[in-house]
Amino acid sequence: MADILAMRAARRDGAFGAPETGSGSDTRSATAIGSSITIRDVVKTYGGFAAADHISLDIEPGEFITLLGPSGSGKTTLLNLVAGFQKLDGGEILVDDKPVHNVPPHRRGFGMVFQSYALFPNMTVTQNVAFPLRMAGADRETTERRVAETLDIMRLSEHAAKLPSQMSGGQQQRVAIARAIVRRPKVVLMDEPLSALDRRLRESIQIEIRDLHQRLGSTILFVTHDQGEALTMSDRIAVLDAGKIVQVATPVEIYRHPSTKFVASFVGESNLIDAEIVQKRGTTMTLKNPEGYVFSAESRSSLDVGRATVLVRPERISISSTPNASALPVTVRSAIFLGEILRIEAETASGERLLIRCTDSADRALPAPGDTLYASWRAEDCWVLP
Amino acid sequence: MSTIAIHMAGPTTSLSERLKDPAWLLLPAAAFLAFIYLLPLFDLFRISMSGSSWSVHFERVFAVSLYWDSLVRTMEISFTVALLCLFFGYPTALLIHKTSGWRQAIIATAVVLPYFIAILIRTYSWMVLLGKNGPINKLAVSLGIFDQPAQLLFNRGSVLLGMTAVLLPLMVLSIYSSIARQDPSLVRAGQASGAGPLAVFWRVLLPLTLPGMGAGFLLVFVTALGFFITPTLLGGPGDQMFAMHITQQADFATSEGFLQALAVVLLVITLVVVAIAGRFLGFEFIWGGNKLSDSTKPSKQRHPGRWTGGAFSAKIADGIGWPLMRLLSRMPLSTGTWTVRMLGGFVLMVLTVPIVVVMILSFSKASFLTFPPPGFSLRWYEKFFSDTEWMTAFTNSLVIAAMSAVFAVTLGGMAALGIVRSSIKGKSAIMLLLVSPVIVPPVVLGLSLYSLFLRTDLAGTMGGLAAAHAIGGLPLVVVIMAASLQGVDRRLEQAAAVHGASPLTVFRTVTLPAIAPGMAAAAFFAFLHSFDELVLSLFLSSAQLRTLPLRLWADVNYQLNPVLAVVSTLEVLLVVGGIALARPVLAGRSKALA
Amino acid sequence: MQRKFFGKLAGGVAAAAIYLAAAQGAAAQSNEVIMQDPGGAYGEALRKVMYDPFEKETGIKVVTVQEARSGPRIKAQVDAGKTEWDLTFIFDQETKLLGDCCLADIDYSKLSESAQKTLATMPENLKRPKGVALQVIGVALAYNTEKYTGEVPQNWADFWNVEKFPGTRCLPAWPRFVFEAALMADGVKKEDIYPIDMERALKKIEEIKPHVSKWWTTAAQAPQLLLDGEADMCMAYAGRINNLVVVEGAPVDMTWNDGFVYYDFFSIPKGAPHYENALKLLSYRLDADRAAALTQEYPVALPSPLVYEAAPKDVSRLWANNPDNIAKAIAWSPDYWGAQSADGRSTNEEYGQEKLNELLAK
Repeated sequence: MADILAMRAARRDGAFGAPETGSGSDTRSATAIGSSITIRDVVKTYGGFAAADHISLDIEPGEFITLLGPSGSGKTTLLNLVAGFQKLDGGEILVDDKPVHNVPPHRRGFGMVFQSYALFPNMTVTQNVAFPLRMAGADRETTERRVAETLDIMRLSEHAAKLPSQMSGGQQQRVAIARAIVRRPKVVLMDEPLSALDRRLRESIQIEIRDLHQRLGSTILFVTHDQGEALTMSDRIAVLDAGKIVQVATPVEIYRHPSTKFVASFVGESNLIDAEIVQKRGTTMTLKNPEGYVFSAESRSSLDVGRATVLVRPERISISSTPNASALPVTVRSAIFLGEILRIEAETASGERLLIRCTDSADRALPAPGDTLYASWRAEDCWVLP
Repeated sequence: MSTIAIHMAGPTTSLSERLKDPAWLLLPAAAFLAFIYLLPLFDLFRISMSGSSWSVHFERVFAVSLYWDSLVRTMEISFTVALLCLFFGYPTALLIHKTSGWRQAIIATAVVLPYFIAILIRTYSWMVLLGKNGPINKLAVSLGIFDQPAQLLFNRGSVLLGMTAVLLPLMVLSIYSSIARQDPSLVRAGQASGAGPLAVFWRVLLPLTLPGMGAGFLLVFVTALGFFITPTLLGGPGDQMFAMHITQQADFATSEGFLQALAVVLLVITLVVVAIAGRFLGFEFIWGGNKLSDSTKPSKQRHPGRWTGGAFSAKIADGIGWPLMRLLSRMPLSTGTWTVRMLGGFVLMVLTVPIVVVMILSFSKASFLTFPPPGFSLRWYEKFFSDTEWMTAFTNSLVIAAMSAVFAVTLGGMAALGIVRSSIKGKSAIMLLLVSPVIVPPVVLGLSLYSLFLRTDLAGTMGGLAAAHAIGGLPLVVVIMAASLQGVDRRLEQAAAVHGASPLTVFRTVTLPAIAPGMAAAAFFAFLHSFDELVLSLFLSSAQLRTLPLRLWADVNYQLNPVLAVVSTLEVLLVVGGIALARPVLAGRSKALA
Repeated sequence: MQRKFFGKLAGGVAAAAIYLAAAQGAAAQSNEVIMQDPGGAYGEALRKVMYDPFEKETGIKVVTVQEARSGPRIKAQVDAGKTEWDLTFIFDQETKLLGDCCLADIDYSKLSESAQKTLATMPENLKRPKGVALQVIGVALAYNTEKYTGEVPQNWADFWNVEKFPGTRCLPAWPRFVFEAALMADGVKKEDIYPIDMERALKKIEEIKPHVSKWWTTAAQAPQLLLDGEADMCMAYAGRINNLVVVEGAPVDMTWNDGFVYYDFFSIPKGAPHYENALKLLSYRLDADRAAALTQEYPVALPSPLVYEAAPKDVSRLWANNPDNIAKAIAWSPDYWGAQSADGRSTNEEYGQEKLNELLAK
């Protein structure tokens, strides 16, 4: 997880080598053709069940925003509401400040990519990609030119005459993306487009989509249940749970400073430590865990007395085999060697579970179950949930 | 039978190896069909050629313009009926597909239920509905549309209406399974690409469901070719269908040979149609198999260049095709929805209203059929249950249907096991043989069986009639049980075997419980098939052995009395009860077939 | 091993066949008589007056089978050596067609005394070795008296006259009777009808065809069509119409002018399972008193003056063997219809049927 974040950060800083067509997020606003989307107090219920429970979200023009949540959290419902496939039960959706509730889906002018690709099986790749253009009234010449361009971008030119069934899953999804973007839509909706693909393919298409976004400047609304995907690709992530948005923030913010236990545990691996507040000074808080271990943590919480939940990411914990006054002694339950990483499950004296990830190093023996280790972390590395 | 396999697995390894391949399970069904189905059909051919020269009877068929005209008319009627079914069936299938929850359950039941009610009863309900004293005439007169009750029966229109209503469920089910197989996001993908619902339907859904439409069309067409009951009861003399000549000719003592020639002609035409259809669609269409769904067989794909090639077709596409699509997209959103609702709703009415009317009439106080009934009573139920002839016919039918179901499930179940689990070659051909009785016109089958039954003392016996009905029940059983068996996870069986279970134990403890629901459904359908069977019984029953459909047939031909409505109501209740019990299984079956 | 398996299988099949055959055999042994039956109101009358008392008296169960025409079935059954029926009624022309191949001689000497007495009063032609006429059948013109209140149709010419007698018609979908009626309507004299000029008859039938609401195929249909108002004027079997007029007082009436009179013969197929019982039932039906009682229920009479005279005049008014009616009717020719057709392919009846069907289908 940390690697992904590092990569993302590196890319943002421009250190990662900018794509040929643009140079990172800064150029985007210059070429942005995307629409703003305003979701205001949207409600959608099925029977008594609220799939969207007063959701509000402002999406900037040209932004890549991901709706992240477990299945049943309402993310796909929200996407379908934006697409117009379902009718609002309350609230409104504005695109470029204009309400769209009376516009049928086929006139909203969005592009859309589906989990099942949803390519028309009776049409060739070319026909599939040409379809939105012809429906929009483009003439034959324009259509042929634009289709050729788009296929070229998606590296599909050699497959132009094939039928969807003659192609692999990854190729089919690239066709689906080509079809969604061929009209240069202001908004592209993506409904778990990568979940049917295997991991390697998923990663390569993630990058492709990201690059495409920067090149086109469309607003992209991306739905996924895969937190890694969300962290890699998005400008901002909206985490949904039970029909509500629980946090909207950049990937880094979501990962480092989740606003709830749910977000903390849904995005990345986490240790949530229940502790008593000892003292608060500025953004630093001193806390004490049940065994009396005292530590500091970063906090924006308004709390200053009572109990708090503290998030410590497993990779932020340092371990040592030698006792240390400022360290928490833990007993190893299991240790798994994952190559560059060691994944250790340990237990505190009071039986609280602590997950630790650390890089492997040659001078350290693998901890065995029953071993005692001394865990510690820095104040900057832990976060008091508000 | 399984025990035999165990006994014989003993001495020689090669033989026991061979017996582990359950292909031998196909033998009983094969023997049964060879004796009671193929042999009589061969005999039919033999007798048809037994004149002074082999062709003399056929010459008469084609020389007398009556038969030739009738053949053409039969094709016309069947084709029209198939077209009507397609036109009305598609919106109905869409309606089922587009609704959900209890609405969908009700609509689907309204379509499926009539499918299991005897054709005779459904035809009778139309006679009631369209009669001079029927509700339609009454309504039209009271609304002032007609001055006096009009003659709505005994014309081409009533034949087409009746046959279409009878065969519609077949078409709806065929199209529905084709629609349901499509990825639901295709429609959304189309909309997201800027195409309105109508345009998506026209360019995407319709082409994709063409195979299902084709299969439904052919099933309806082929079934209609052999139709006998509905045109006899609803048609006038100008609507004689070919199968009717066979029963009519059976009245002449001198027509041996010629009679068989008529049957052979009908059979050959049916087989030719099926063969041509099978060539293009694959023979799986007969039993609703899957081959149809993969529309992507590379060899049959149109050349990809064709659509973009050809300057002329490109011009047409540019000038007409795409503008038309865009026009469709601009139609009000509700156009498609309302078309589907109205046509589908109309179809649901056509399928259910006659049955409901008949059910209401069964409680009529009046001594003749008039709607609405002047008052209600149970007198016709009393009459039915106190009439020994009706009751004898009723019990006969129950016993025969039960026997027939046992035959069909035993033979069909073994055959299904044999075909699914063996590594025998030519499974498609075997399957085709097993299900082929479905496409043989019942009149032809009945005629061919008659002489066999006389020779073998089977005529007029319950066992004989049950066996004859099992010919048609067998395909139903084989299809359902094969689908059911394919749903069994073979790894479970292997796991049981690895842990030391004998093949028989594996079958008893793993396979049988898994296919039991399918078996129950198969038994129910085989039972119903026999319970409803009329045409074979007309040829094969005897004085001592009257079945319920035979008794109904006799009465329908004499006069439409309310007792018939009672029988119809009871049959509907039987089917409803059966389907309610079999519902979970049916759901499984449709899944397995989809 | 495998052969053994097949042996077992074959054995099983054989056992099943034997079982079924035995079941059939057992059925054949039982004390019953299988009788072809016309069904409908006539069937009910027969059950009440003849079969039920017969069963009570003799202990022989009467099993009825409803079948419009038995000829082809008898032939098929006898050919296969599996006769099912004991007593059947067949058409006059069929006693000749089927006589040699399929029908047993009736042993008249074994019939009861009362039957012999009745038979003595019947014309020789009606007691043939292969069949005895048990019922006089009439086919005549019937009409709805509520529809035709003033002048009523008198003959086939009136039947064809749709201007004078507007309304719907019904006719049997057979060539017999219909062709003759058409010729009479076209002005052919009764004595010149046979041999039938089929082309002429068909031409005349074409005229009336648009007014025919139903071409009926079973005896009970015509009266039902009249009662239901589906047809106003019909060619119908006299018996049931007679029954409606006399017994039920329904709004129908009939005329014997240009009617047809013929006889239904009762025969015992060769190899009938209960020959003796068939003779007993035949005796029963030939008893004059009982035959007369039957006519009270349903007016189809035994062709014997004994029966006719036993009935009250108002009941026998419309009977087919009332001499007054016979004088108005024509003697229908079964021989013509049973003869070979001009093209040699079939009988006149079959040929006429094909031609009629062709016309009707147009």
